[in-house]
Amino acid sequence: MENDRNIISLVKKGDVRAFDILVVKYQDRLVYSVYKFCKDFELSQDIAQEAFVKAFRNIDKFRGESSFYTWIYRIAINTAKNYFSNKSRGAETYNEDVLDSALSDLSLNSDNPETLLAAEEMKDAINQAFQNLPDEIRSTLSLREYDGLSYEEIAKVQNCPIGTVRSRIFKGRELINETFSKLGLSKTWSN
Amino acid sequence: MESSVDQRLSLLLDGEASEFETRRLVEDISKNPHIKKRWLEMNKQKSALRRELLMPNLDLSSKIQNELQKSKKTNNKKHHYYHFSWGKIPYMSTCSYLFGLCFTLTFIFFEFSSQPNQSFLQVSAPKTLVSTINPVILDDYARNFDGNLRSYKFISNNQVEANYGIKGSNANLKLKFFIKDGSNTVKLSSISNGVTINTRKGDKPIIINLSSDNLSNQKLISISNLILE
Repeated sequence: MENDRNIISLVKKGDVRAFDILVVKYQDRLVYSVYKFCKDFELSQDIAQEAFVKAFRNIDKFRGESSFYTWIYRIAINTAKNYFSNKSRGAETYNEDVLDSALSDLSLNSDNPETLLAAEEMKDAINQAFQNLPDEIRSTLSLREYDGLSYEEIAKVQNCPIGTVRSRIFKGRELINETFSKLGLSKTWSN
Repeated sequence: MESSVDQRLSLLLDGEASEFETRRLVEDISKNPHIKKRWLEMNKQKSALRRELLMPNLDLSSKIQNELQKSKKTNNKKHHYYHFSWGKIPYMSTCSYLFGLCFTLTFIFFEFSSQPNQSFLQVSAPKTLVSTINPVILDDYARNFDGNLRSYKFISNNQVEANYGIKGSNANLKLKFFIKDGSNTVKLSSISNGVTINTRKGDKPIIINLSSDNLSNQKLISISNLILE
């Protein structure tokens, strides 16, 4: 589970800048999840945006019993449900079963085909770079990214100091970033 | 320095940054476009790695910020035009009191800052020290004794003072770090309280003095052992 406790306590004090940290952190994941059931890129963005605004306004109601992402994901799903209920044209695309299964599936491991080439290229490149990482670094980063373990948990699993976990994860990200820079992929979002 | 920023962002990305470090990073990301760009890049890479990236150049943050600012302004306007009442006089007097207090504190702070060696939370640290002891490392030390870094200051080119709180108690701990060289001989001889240990950070010998208002020397020794481990 992601630990956003420190950021959220700042947001609860009204810090909009801290909330921006959460927006950048979860926007791709949320848009992607919403897109999985509404199949409309523009609409996914609008719903995600509205969900973030609602989340900020109701942050006092977030008690930290689930992760922030789980909470905002539920807000997004309810926003989408309201949208489709209110729009008659939604009847053509809205499928209650799909939405309900999305609500119960919070693991969000997608096997949906993507149509956007740039995103595909990026995902392939990054996964290739990940496969090319040295074994120790790859396994540590994998425990973090795919299994969602905390540094402390990884240290226990791998029987090494927490500092080693920290430096392996950082090194892994550094190596992946190098691959990105070599391929010129980082220009995609810097333009 | 760049890699130090990336290292801090990497901790934030994983929700492993301390409360103190999170506050600093929120500040840095909002003020420094370069750091903000790196934060965005790192998140894009993470999303791509998890195969959750739909559109590489998607960034909702400015739209959301505008939306929040708009609603904030609307709320303020409503407040200003429709909700003024005499009942707010106590509120106004509180504001006046706070203003006076801030003015006094500013004055006191100005007096202090005009004296040598009295900087508070100095961000632009002396270069000789930055490479050896930076805030991430100071924060790391806290993990040894389950503490929280509250503040730090660079006393000189080769001396840092860091203040920590101990989690779950009201106890505080002060660590003074010295890079071991000739210029510190006088300062070191003046240390008479607490516990002093010799250790290394990379290839640099470092002396750390531990002191506290409310921890016994025995407790300080056990903390120093944890640091040495």
